[in-house]
Amino acid sequence: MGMDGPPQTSPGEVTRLLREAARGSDDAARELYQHVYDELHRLARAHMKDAVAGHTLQPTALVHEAWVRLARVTPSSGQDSDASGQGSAAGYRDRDHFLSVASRAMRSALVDQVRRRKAEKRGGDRSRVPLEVAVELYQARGVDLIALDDALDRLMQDEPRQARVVELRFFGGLTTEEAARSIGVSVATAERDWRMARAWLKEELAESA
Amino acid sequence: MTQVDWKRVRPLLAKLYELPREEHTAFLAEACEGDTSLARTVVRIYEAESTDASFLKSPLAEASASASRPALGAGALVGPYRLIEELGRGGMGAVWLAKRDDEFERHVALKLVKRGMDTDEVVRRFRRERQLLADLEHPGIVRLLDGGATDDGRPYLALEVVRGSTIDEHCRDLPLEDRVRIFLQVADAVAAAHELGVVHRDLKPSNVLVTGGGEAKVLDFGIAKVLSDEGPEVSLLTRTGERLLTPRYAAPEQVRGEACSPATDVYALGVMLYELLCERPPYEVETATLRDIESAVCDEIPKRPSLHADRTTRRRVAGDLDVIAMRALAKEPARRYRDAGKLAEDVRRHLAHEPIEARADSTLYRAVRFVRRNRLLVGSMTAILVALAVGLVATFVQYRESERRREDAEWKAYVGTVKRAETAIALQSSFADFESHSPELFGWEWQHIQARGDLSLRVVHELKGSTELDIDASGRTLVAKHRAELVFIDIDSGEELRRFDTGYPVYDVHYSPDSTLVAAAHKGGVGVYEAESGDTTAFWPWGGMIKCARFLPDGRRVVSANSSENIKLHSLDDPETVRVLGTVKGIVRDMEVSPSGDRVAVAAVECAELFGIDDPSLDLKLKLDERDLSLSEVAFSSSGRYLAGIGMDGTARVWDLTTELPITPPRHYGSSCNAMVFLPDRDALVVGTTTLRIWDLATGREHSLPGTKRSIKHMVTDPDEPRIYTSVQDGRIHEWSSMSTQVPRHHLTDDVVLSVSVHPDGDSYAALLGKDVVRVDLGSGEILVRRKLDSSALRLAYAPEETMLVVASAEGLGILHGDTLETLHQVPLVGARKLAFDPTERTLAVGKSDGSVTTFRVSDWNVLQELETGLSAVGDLAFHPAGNQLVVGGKDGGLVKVETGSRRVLPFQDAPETAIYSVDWSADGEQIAAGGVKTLGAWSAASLSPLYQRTSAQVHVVYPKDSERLITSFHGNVQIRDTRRWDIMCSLKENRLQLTEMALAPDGRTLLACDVNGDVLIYNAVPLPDTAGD
Repeated sequence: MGMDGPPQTSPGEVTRLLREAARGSDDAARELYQHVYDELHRLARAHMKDAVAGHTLQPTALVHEAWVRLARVTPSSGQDSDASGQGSAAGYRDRDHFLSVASRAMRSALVDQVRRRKAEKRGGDRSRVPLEVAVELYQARGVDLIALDDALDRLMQDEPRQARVVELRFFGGLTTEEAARSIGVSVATAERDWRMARAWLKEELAESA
Repeated sequence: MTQVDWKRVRPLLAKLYELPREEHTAFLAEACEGDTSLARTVVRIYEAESTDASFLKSPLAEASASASRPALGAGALVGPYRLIEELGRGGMGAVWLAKRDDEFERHVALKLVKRGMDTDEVVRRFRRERQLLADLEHPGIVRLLDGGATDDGRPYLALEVVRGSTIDEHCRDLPLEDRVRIFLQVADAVAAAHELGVVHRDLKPSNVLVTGGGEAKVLDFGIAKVLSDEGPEVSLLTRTGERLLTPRYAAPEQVRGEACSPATDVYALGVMLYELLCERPPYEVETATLRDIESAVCDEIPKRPSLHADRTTRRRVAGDLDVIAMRALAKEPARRYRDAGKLAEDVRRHLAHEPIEARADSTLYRAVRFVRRNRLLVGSMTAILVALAVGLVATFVQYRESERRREDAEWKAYVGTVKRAETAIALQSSFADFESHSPELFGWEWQHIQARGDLSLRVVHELKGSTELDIDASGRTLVAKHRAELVFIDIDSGEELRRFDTGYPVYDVHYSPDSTLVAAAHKGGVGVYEAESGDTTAFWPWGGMIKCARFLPDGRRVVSANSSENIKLHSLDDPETVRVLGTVKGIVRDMEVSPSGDRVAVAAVECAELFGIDDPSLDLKLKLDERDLSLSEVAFSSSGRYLAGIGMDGTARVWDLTTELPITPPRHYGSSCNAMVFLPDRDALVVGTTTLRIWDLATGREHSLPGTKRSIKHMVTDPDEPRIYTSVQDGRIHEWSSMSTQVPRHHLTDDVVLSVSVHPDGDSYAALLGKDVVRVDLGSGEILVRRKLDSSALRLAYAPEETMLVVASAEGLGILHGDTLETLHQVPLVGARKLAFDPTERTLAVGKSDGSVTTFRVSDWNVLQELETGLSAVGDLAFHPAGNQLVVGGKDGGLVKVETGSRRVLPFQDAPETAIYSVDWSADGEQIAAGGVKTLGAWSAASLSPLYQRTSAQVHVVYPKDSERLITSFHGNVQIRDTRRWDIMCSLKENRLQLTEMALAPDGRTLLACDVNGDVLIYNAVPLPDTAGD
């Protein structure tokens, strides 16, 4: 199995970290984030093999599989129960919380990947780098990921919730409803935040271009 | 590009996203106070964002939608629907025959939108349109029933199933006049939609089906709007990718990407009419490139249809039909018929050989028509006389019109309010305001809406300047603080019972557990007073402001919190010893004792702090994430398991005290949120803003009640019942007696409920479930008594003012005791179907399957009369309120009035020819209504002439007490019509499959409706306000 082996974190551990992070433990959040980040990279590598074998990479699988593996929740039952047998509400909340952490991890993983690519210039075997396919999907949107990342950091200063909505929706691929639940606001608020953020980012990215 | 001043732009932009587009200009004009460059910047940024749908669209969302999941096939589940068979495929996706996979078992046509359309956007637009589309209840319109997204994110729409062929196929071999009549049905259906302001946008023959019975049904109403891109008027021809419109039927303005209006549909109807008349499209485009069609549609004037028609029909098409089609096909929308209604009128006039409006400017044409229609009348003198008479009538009508116009405006405004309230009920949001309307306009719909919303909100009392409250253990008395006084209020009557001056300003009040004492937090100390006499039991002086005082469950000890620092414990048995439980940083805003009394929770800065009363090991600090944020309120759940805290920023958090962890991400309620309690009967948190928002911790769901417009300052819950008392700034104390806006629903059986009747005492009702008859508590839905009958019955009815229930079956009548349901008596009577009691004569009329009616004296069950009606079978019958006449509707059509004295049978004019299931006589005796398979109608009881008639689906009819309204069932909904104008004022949509019967309680207010799923729905209503004023 080598580097594609099972994750280093036990499911109970992830649940604990989620709960602690939800209570405001920065350490737990950092640790959780690191796990997710590692897992994304690991999964991207695993998927590369599939891609070579003729399958195409499904980037949502990155986020969803990371969740499945880390918390040992099957995708179909992920919204109903979790492995530790807790009630549905808890499972759902954990999932929302996880997706929110995963969205941030996705953002970092993608941006890191772009930076790495720039640093390497033309040297190295680009197409074989994990996460490259996902990066290309994003680049195909005509968005400069590094500029967006910087802009989001600035938005985080003034309008942190709006920045979070962008992270969840753009990087995490969440729907408005999921994003709203994840942040704990109404769908209408999440939608307004999303549009405000889009308006601001559009202006901001146009200026920096 | 100059730097944008985001500090100024942000709030304006945020507002634009909240406001409807047409209000943007007005808003910016005012908000920017003449700073046009600021306004321009805001608009530019808004437009840049709104017009770029792909910006920041996540590839993940798209990838997930196109992920290689197995294709949906027969047997797959989509939302609650199971796919059965693919019916067809089109530009938007596939259409499946599907069946609801739950108790509804309803067949639907499920339109699965194909991948690639923006799910969020489509679903969002669908939700926005749904209310409007739900109002489109017309026999000629296929109803949109439901919509949502599949698991993999594809939007779907569920529609009523119609079996038939498309209109062009159906009409292929029909004679011209039949085609025109079918077209008229289509125009009428579209007209009904235009009346509601709904434009179809994509009318074409494949969207119009004709059933085997020759009824035209228009499909996909409003769907073009739901599925079209943001900015519904985007030119559909220039877009790459999927085209939504069929260019052959698209109006010039659609081709050019301009605004759609009812006239756009008129154009499409014009093309359809054109094709029905001459079986050719209006434009001869050989090489049908889009560009060619576009130029043809926008520039080419089509030939008159008669020029294409074959020789046999040419003469009949030439003339009116040419004119009607050409007017509908005018290039400029303003030159077409304004809407489908106007078009339909002209088609109807043509069929009736009356002058059509499209030629109204031609006097000669009118004269020709007049002659054709009135051949016998024509003679010069007669014509002049007629002209004079018309002139007189016109003048009189004009006078009446101006008088009525004002009345109509008031009426329209009222109906608008009713509709808003109806929507508010559906959305569980804040209520429309009825205060501006004259109570003379109010009818049963008002009574029901009030019961659903506002009047679950009763003003108990008004006490200016008072906000803090507590309720006694019996739930019958409130104590409120008012300056230095304690004021006791009787909840039922709203009367002030007594008040005592304590001598010190009061900040907080709390009853002892046995309600004999009241603890008060004062400026300057803590006091305990006798609730009955106001005598001081104890007083502990303490400098500064005491914010809270709470009894412990033992009733002998009181905890108090100073506005800063200390939490103290006082004992009535040992007043000298005051113990400090703990010290809190900053200002204490609230404090609560846990239900078991083992600890007290304090709303503090950056945390909720708990102190053990007798056990310091129970001390606990539950920290908030935000720095410097204070909690303003805390509350324990009645189970003691949860503690909720609400911050000054309006953020509510809930901790599970068994794990000491927050159970969920916090929820935000806005800074106007000041009060919070748990419901006494379950783990649900109630947060007061301007309304109550109920957050069920078990399910995570939340709903609001239709509320006040004022900010709630304080609230307490009844100790046992989910009933809440709130106070607002102006001192009004409201009682919220219902924690739900749902119509109560009693599930009595898994089979059909055939008949219901309310017990004369109004507290229970009888229901017929197959061979069982049950008596059910009206409040709780509990089945009180159940009896088995010997044979299946059809109908039951309580005798008025008598505890006696009559059950009709094919063998006869069963007379049951009204309470115990024991059989008292059996009356053999072959073919008994329907029952009607005459309250004045104490007579029961029984309609039978042979069409005759037998009347009985209720006291001894002797037959009074055998009445023949001339009908083949009785569908339903009802007595005149004075009892001397009956109206009888036929199961195979026909409607007659029977005078019981003379036995005279009088047929109604234009009586329905289809089955009648339900008749009712208004309480004022003036009107009769009948409903059945395809009929809804009302007749004047005196002249027997129709007042109102429409072809409609299965309808049951009930007049409420005031005769001003008619309550009808339409499929599974209850609709309320005004009996003068016949508008549908209100549709109470509970999405039931089919209501089987409706019955009003003896007070004329509560309406029961039973359905095929075994449910009885209880539509409560409150009394009408006294219009005489008080």
